[in-house]
Amino acid sequence: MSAMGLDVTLFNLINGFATGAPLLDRAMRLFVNDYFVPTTLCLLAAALWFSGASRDDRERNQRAVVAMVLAILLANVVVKLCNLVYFRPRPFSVQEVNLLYYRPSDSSLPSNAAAVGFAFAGVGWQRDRRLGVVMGILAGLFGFARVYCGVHYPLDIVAGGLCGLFSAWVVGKSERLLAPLMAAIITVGRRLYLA
Amino acid sequence: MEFREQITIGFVFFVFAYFLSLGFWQILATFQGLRAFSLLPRGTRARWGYLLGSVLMALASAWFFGTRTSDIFSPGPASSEFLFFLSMGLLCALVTTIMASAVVGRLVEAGRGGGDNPYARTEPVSTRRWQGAVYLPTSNGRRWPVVCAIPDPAVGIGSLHRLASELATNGIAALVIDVSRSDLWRYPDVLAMIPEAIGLLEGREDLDSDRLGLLGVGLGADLAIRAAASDKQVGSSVVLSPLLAASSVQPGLDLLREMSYLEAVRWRRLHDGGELVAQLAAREYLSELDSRPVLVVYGEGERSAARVGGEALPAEARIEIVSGAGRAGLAGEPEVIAAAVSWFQKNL
Repeated sequence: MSAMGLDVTLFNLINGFATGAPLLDRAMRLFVNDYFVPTTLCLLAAALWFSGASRDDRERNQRAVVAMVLAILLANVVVKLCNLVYFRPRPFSVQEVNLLYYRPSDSSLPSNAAAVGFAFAGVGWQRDRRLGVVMGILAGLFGFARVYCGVHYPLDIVAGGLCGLFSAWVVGKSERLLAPLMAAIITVGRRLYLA
Repeated sequence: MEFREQITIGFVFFVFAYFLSLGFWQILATFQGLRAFSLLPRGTRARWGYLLGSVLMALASAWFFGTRTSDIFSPGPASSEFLFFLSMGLLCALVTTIMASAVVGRLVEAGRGGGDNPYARTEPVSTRRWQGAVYLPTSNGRRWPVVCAIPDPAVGIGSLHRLASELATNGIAALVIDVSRSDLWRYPDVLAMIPEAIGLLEGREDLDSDRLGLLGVGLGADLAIRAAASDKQVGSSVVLSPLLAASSVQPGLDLLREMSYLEAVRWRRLHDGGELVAQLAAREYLSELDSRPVLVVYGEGERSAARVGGEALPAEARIEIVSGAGRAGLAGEPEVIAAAVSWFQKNL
């Protein structure tokens, strides 16, 4: 069986549960939407900005938050570039699915939602393992719910997740290059008494 | 999707983000001890802060996810627009929180008030450069020891009303100088302020300027240390939250643990980037107080203060850390007032 064939089989298996259990459907509809997980991840990042036992510790957290923003921007660019060279139709466009969400019109692969979620988680992991795990679980649920609700194939989520993690890795490796930008942002924050 | 429809969904999400963020700031303020972000008065138990924040977040989420399903399950703002609306919600909630917190702080301070004290009376005094008030015991027939008090310039003369009244009630007169005008704090002119005040006290028949103490708060404490070191006439001092090092006036989040946002802005502007603190060099002058007693008081929550080290202190010095207090309002804490009164009663 080809990778695409396995992907479709896995999609059918997961999406087959949709509409079968109303409680699970409600939970997945909470995770699948464009607001719940992204808002939670943003608030976690905001909390990270203000946390830290000492000024130095806080500065390291603030650098991580700036890195998250940069990683998300980079992940978006990578996804757009992928979309320019390859278009994969959404599951509901090519087969019968249990659709619990609206019908997005952009390319299915890679998943932008997973890319953003795992960009957060990747930088979070670099700064603090527990934060990385929490953000990773949220990003994973975000991705899983997208498959469950019929808007993505599993491979889209894996590809999107890899885009996000790759972006986080690139930003992490460029820390020295980005240091002046991070320092400037933190200095402005301090002048506004917010860093 | 039509532009109008998208704006509507964006606005609904902004309202959600605003109320969610109000709750978020309350939880953050409680967890991080950020006074400037707290809608609850200082000293309120942490569980009320967590409860308020959780309730706001829960209500906002219940409204948005429970009742706006048609908006949520239709094409909404793209990632950049999502971030814009979320950031605007966070920012507007932050501005609301900061303003409301300042108002709550003022109302609480006004509620505390000083009230009329039957055992003390006040007289306005002024010199060519500054104005002030002398707090006098009401009983007559003797010459009172006197304390010259310099408030934190960012807070003003009212912050020492309770302490000065309590000193007068206990038979010690107090001259409180209004140092809120920033032009008074130019170096080296500022060094003339306390000698000028002592000169004014020496001219009064009802005051015994041979039993003279100094009291200062914040930058006023640094000035008091400098003046006490230079003038042997000063018998004893109480300094609350002396700054001692320019690093104490760094801008940043730590200031918001101790004061409201607007106070922090004003405080930082008055301290001129720490230049005056460095010029006053109170840390060095502390050791020149020799055997004259000095009480140094800090609030437990003061993170920005460069606390005095034991090596810099003269033999007769004592340091007190007041639990549960920060820099702001330290002079009004009953524990601090009692300690200062007792210190001057013993040492003047």
